[in-house]
Amino acid sequence: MKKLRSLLIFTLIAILLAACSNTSDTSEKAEASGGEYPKKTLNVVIPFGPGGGTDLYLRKIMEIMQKEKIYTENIKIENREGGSGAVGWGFLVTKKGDPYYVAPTSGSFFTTPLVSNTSFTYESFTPIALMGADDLFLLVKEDAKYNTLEEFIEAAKSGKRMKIGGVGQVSDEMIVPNLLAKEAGFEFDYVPFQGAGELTGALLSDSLDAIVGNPARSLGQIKGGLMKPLAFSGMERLPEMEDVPTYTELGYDVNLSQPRGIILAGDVDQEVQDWWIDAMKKVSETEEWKSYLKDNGMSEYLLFGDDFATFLEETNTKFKNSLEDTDN
Amino acid sequence: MKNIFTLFLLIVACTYLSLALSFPMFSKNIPGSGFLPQIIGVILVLLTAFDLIKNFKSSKEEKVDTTYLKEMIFVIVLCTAYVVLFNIIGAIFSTVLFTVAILFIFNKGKLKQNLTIGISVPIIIFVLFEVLLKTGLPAGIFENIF
Amino acid sequence: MGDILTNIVQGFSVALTPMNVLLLLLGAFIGMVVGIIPGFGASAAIAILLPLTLSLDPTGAIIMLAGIYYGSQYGGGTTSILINTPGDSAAVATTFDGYPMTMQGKAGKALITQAIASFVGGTVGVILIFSFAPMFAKVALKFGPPEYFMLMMMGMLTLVWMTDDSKLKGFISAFLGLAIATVGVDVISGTQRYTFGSPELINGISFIPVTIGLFGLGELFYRIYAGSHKDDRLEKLDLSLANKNTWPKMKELLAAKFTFLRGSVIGFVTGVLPGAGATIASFFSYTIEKKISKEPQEFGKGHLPGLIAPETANNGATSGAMVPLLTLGIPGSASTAILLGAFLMYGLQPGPLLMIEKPDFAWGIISSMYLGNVILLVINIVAIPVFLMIVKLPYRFLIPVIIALCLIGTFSLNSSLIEIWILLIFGIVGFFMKLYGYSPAALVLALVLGPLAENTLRQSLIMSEQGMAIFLTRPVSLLFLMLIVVIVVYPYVKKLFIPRHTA
Repeated sequence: MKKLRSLLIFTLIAILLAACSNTSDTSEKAEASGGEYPKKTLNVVIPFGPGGGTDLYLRKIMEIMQKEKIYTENIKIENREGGSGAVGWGFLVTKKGDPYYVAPTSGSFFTTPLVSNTSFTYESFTPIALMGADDLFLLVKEDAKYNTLEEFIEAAKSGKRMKIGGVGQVSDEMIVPNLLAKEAGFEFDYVPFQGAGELTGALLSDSLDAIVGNPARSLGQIKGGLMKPLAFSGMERLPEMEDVPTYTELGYDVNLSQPRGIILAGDVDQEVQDWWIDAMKKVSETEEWKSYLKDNGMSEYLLFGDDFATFLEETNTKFKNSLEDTDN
Repeated sequence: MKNIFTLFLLIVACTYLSLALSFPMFSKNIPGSGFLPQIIGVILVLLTAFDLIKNFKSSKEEKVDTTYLKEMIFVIVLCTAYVVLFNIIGAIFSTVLFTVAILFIFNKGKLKQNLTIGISVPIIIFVLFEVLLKTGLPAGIFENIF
Repeated sequence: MGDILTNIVQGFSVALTPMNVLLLLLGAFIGMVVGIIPGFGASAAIAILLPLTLSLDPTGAIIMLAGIYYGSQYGGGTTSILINTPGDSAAVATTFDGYPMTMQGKAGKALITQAIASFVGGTVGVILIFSFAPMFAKVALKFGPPEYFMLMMMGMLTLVWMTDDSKLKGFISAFLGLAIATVGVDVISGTQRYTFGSPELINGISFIPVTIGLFGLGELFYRIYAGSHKDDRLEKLDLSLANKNTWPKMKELLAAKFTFLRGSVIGFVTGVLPGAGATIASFFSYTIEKKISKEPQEFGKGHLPGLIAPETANNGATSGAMVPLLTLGIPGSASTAILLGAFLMYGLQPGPLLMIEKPDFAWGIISSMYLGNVILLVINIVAIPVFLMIVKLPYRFLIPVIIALCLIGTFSLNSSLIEIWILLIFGIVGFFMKLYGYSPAALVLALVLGPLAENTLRQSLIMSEQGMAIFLTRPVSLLFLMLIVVIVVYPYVKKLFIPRHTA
């Protein structure tokens, strides 16, 4: 009987405590507006695991904000990974109106809501800034017969069905070769991989004809003579790889990149948004940020506030159209 | 008991298979998203059904040892309550409650010892995860206190 | 030969600077401690501690991170032995013979053996890197999807061997694991399977909550059911290091010398292959050891080689995984992917030129791994009395602590509530599996192998021009296929030719 009683007491306390839980949420909003921002610990929500592209990019920005004393309070970084970002951004949605939550954008920011039932879309948040973009190389093995994109397309058109690999089925890495194939008029098979390691391994083991890959993870292998780039999906050539032409220069309208942006929770005050836009402008001018872009092969691409909002809308349309094209 | 568990597995297997049928077996001439689930489903249904029949046939009466069964069920119930409360009242308070409740069952009559362990252990765990590893445990309704 | 010597000298001159030794010590220690926490394996440990290293110079930072990486592999086995709760999936096979030893009152011996096995595995791995890294890198370059598929088929064979005792229940367990593995978004087609609209399930059911539930909680429920909280047999044991019986006998260790060697090499080679990793390595090593042993019936009952095999292998694999990372810039596992991220963060470009352009960095890291293993051996043995206190604690006090650690550890990985529900459900399932003789280990291995097998099969078929023929036209894949055929057919052939006088 005693056991039962302790169980009962435990449950009772629990229910009591649970009952109180609904009352304490409201105080936060009031103190957010008015007075100078920031006054509290900043919560950084990263919807992906530590060590990935999105993670490193946002951590760098936070590091600069702290070093340069742009954000004077504490900064707490949390990785909430899962569901291709659905978990992390889904969490940010629940923080509507709270000015102390910030998150990054990436390709999945668009694709995840497009292909599955998420509680958010790109419009659910307060847009702050686009800081840069990760574009993709088209890569073939060093000893491949093709030295230019033209030769590659020529071969693809004259009977050889190309196998092109990328990370993920619904991702920018799948869309870029699809756009190219449509523009150039050839057919190919896309082979999706789970991670970049296996993907690179597959190309180097002569399993694939080409892969797409971002500069950060492939520059070392290009320079080391394992593979060679045929084209680049950025608006401009990458300074680190001056001699690799962009698709646009070669006459193909292939342009879609992993947008490295920064957003706040939805519905925050105008002042807070302005504060953040200002802060990101400061970050983008630091030497440290510039050298980070260079080291990681990111293209510099700056847009703030409303311009960034327009960009988000355009990018979303691009992703949507490409997904519909390739859905069959 | 044994038949119940095997029956449970059979039901899981049947549900799994019936859901698998909605995925395509082949797409574009290669195995599609339903290929493996359907194969797994069929084999699993066959295996568990066979297991169940084998259980029924075996004449050996199964004896469930009930000496400590009640204690075990208590622990499972408390674990469930713990999981429920974890997000509502926060990691540290639910852990304190849970630890104390368990000790009240297994270490009866030593109130002081139980409370000491029940409060100190969760605090050590909390310091380890929250302060050293910075993992972000839920603070639940006490979010604004800290 | 001269080259290797230069490398060694250069490496150690970097690794032995006081600052780097200090960082190594710190990393190894932190890694070991974090590895002990249920749910925190190598990748979680590096990921969480990555920000700590931000202010260091690149070499020091990577030395520390690498220390955390293989340090966690030492710690992962500790809880497998003490409370049957693997720190992560690479330590599952350690529970097979490690935990029975604890139950027999030989926890001290198990922990010391584990430390020695980890040391041997790690050290053999480092020696192999020093002498053959470029060669092994070439092996990794032969592996595309068809070869991986064949490797996974070998893994499935391991599963069949593992279920020797009760075939039917073993197969049910394995197929349950395969079924769980299909939850989540299908990488090849992009369709969602069994997610029921929940975003948390898009990436599937992670093997961490499943493993900890099946082994940790399942065993705990079982022990309460069996009345361990009333049993004070273990509390009265003399487990101090001064007791001669706490130490494994030299004779026993020497008798297992080939187990040490095989485990280390199997682990290293498996670790080199991107995508395979420490979990598969430890299972491979365990089953191979059991298969060739003269006393296979002893395995699973606290047999020393059964503990040595997986522990040498998972540490060998951690060294092996550094090979493609350092020589090619290809991460072979989740943990090395994070290390690769760290390389980038410090402005190091991972790729074939890394070892040529920054030899002091590359060889410094490798030399520090050698030192790190020595340090970890010492720390481990020194820390054993602390761990043994856990065994001597009355079980009733351990119950809430183990449950709380499992739950908070699992939650902390992804801040996911759904994962602690999964943990609890698999805890209950694990209890019944144990009670009725199913095989949780087969379930976990199938869960790890399943997605790899499915993806590589379908990738191979997309790539292939003539369907299944792709597995025959590629030499390495063909070699594997023939090996599998030989392994499967051999026992029957043996029966045909050797008269059955032993029966």
